[in-house]
Amino acid sequence: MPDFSEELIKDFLDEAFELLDIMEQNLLILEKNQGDSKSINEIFRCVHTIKGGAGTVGFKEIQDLTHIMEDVLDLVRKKLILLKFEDISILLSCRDELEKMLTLRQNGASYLDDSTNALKEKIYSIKARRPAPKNEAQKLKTPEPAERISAKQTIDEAGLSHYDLSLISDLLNKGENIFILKYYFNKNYEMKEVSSFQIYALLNDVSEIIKINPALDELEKAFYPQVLFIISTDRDENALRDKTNLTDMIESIAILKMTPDTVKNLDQMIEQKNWKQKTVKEDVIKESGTEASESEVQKRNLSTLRVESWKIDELLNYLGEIVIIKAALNQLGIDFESAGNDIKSTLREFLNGVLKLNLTGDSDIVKEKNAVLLNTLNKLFTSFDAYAESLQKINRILIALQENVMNMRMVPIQMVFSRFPRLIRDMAERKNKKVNLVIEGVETEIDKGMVDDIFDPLIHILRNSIDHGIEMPEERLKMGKPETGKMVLKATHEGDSIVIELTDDGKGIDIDALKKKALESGFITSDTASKLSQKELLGLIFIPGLSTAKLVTDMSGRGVGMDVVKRKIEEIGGSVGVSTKRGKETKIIIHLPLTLAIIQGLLVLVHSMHYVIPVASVEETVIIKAGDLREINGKLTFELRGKFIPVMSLEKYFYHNDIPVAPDGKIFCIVSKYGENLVGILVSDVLGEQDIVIKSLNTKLIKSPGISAATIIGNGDIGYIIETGQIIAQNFKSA
Amino acid sequence: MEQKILNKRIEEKKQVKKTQILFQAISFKLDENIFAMDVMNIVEIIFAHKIYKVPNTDSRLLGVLNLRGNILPVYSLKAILGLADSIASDGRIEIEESDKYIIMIRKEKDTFGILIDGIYKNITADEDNYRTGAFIEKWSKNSLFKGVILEDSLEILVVNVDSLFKYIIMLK
Repeated sequence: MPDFSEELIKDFLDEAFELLDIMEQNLLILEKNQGDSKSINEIFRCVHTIKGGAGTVGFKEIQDLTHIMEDVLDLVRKKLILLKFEDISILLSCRDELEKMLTLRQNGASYLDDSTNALKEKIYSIKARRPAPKNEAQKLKTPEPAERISAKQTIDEAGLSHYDLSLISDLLNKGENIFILKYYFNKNYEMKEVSSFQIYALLNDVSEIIKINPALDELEKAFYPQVLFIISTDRDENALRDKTNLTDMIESIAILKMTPDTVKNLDQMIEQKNWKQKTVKEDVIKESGTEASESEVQKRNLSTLRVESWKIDELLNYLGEIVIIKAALNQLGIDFESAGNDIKSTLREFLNGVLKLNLTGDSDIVKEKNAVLLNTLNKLFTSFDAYAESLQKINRILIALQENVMNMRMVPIQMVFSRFPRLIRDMAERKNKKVNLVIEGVETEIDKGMVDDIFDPLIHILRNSIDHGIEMPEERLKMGKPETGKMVLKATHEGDSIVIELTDDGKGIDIDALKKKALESGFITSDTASKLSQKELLGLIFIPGLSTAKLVTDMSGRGVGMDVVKRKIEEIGGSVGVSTKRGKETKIIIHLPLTLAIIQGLLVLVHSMHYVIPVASVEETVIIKAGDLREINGKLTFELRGKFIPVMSLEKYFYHNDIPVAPDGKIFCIVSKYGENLVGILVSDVLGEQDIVIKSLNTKLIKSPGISAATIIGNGDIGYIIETGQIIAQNFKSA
Repeated sequence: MEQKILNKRIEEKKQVKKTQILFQAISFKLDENIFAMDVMNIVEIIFAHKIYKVPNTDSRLLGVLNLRGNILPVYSLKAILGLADSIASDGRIEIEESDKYIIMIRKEKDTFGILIDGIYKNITADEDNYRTGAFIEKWSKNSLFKGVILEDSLEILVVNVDSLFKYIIMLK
């Protein structure tokens, strides 16, 4: 096994996983529309590219499977086989198998399993459906090895031109035997580099070599596992085989004898190929896919650059550092200016004073020195101005740079959504339900860091919709709905956030059942239940341990659903809402922040340390007096516009000290929403609102409830970012 | 003459070869005590400047520091080893003395620092000067050490980074 660089393998794996996704999407399109030639071509291209890559890095099991898939797909592409519904399932299983193989390869293992062979059998069975080709007669003339060197391959691999062919037909007319020999060399052979030269020498003894592909000088540079020779000789096929059969060096030999007929065929094919290359690219993909698809892949590689996300994070980190230094420079500029102003005014007084002095000696020299001093100071002031101007420029560039780097972290939400059609298809199949998933807004961009975080919650919601939302087909028909349920997953940008909506046209949420369940489980009392609005009752589905599902399935219904979804989404700074129309639809709405890296935060002081409260959880900031706080039932509250709201002190929560009161008796109170209620959070001082670059803390080592991230503020100090929901819950639980 | 020098060099080399080098260590001061640590886990040694206490955390976690944009935890090895540490605070720790350093340690994906009072010297632990065994645990009353280096007529305990990490991960 040749030692391939890690990098090459990594590149292959990255691309292969991506191709598998594309393949899956197109297979699903194909499932709905069996004749979609664009999808077939796309699938073929994926399989072909993976096969090529697997060959280069030596992943034989992947190469084998893709090879067989490619065979079948090629026939489908040429419309010799029509794919059936089951065939697509087989191809999807193949895709899954490939994914398994790739995953194992990624972990440094290789995949060996009987299931692959079973799959291969199934694909062969598709291939076997191929109707007898029209040119069967000709096929029979060229015996077994001809299967391995088809006419088309010959053109591609030997790089034959019209000129070569005319030469061959001349020789044929003279009664010479022309053979095309293809050698498959053993890659493990120690002296593999010289394999082709040995064959060259042997063939040279008994024949005249017309053409070698790859050319000799190419062969000198590197080892090629397959080399094609075209020779003219007076020997027959068996003699050639015997002459060059060096078993440890060669894996197999394929020999094709040329006849005037094959030459004619080849000539026509070259003609066709040349013509096609001139026509529109799309046609080329349809007919001779391999050529065009490779050039397409190359083009794509040129316009995008794969960069690991941690490199961008690092860039962002350095950028953050520059921003902090810039703030320091700004401060310096201000210091310079005030110092300059001081110097200016003192200098004026000083010079006036000098004039009043009765100076003896050379007054001219004094005047001269004064002028020099004045001049130098003026220069200094001009430099200050220039400095301030440059600083302004840096400011502008930095802002642009920051935006650009942030943009690099953004990826289309397609990265998350692309896996859903397949999952929905499988889930619906398992539940014997019919579902059509419509996805909209795949181009909406989200922060790369969110991709993994939102996948689980979304899949949970989708499962819920299929499990509890969409009815069984017969039930739907009875209700006068179309047999196939419709689910719409839509992503949009809305101001500062991304909105993901999932709507299904199922039976909706039974609010009464929910209420009953909540009463039974003791989450609410009948007294509160009667007070709750429909909307508030609907909010009960987010309570842990409450599920209305009558049956616990393997997918959902264990009552650990929506609360987990809510928590996960809130962890990344988002929110979840739900609305329903009984018997008609359920809509789940998720709001996500645009980016994970920067938030708007309110900078506050507690215990003379900096803390950040995300603006998203701030309703308003009010200044109250110490006397406004009242203790009701042992709990601290204050009156906000006629309503008493509970308050908590960060000083007390974090440092177990009394409430900080400024000398003038003022206390800053940040009013935050907790569920449907308002809660006041007391801090020592409010410094203002600003963009906060989030730096996550290693929560394995730093376990402070309510703090899981921090930021670096202007002067280089560290400020802690508060998770308001968590500290409020913690505070009132312990109180 | 040259021959003699050459021979001497060869002799020296031979002697070095005889005692196998086990690891390179950095020894450092905690007050007047000297301890050592294998350099393999050390990412870098930085000047201690500002450490910010994280509220509601163990006192042995001095706080966090800003290392080129990364916010990383810093521990008091003194407190962990049961020595008195006067530096702990519930707010900002600003260190003026220029001889205080922080050793940044990486254990797999986690990076953390320990505050020390000064660097003593680099030591090469070899079969001659390094001792290890069950006695270490009894001797040092805890399992944070993996061995002892005999150097300059001192017995320098070598901190076991794996145990140290296990220890700090258990802290509140």
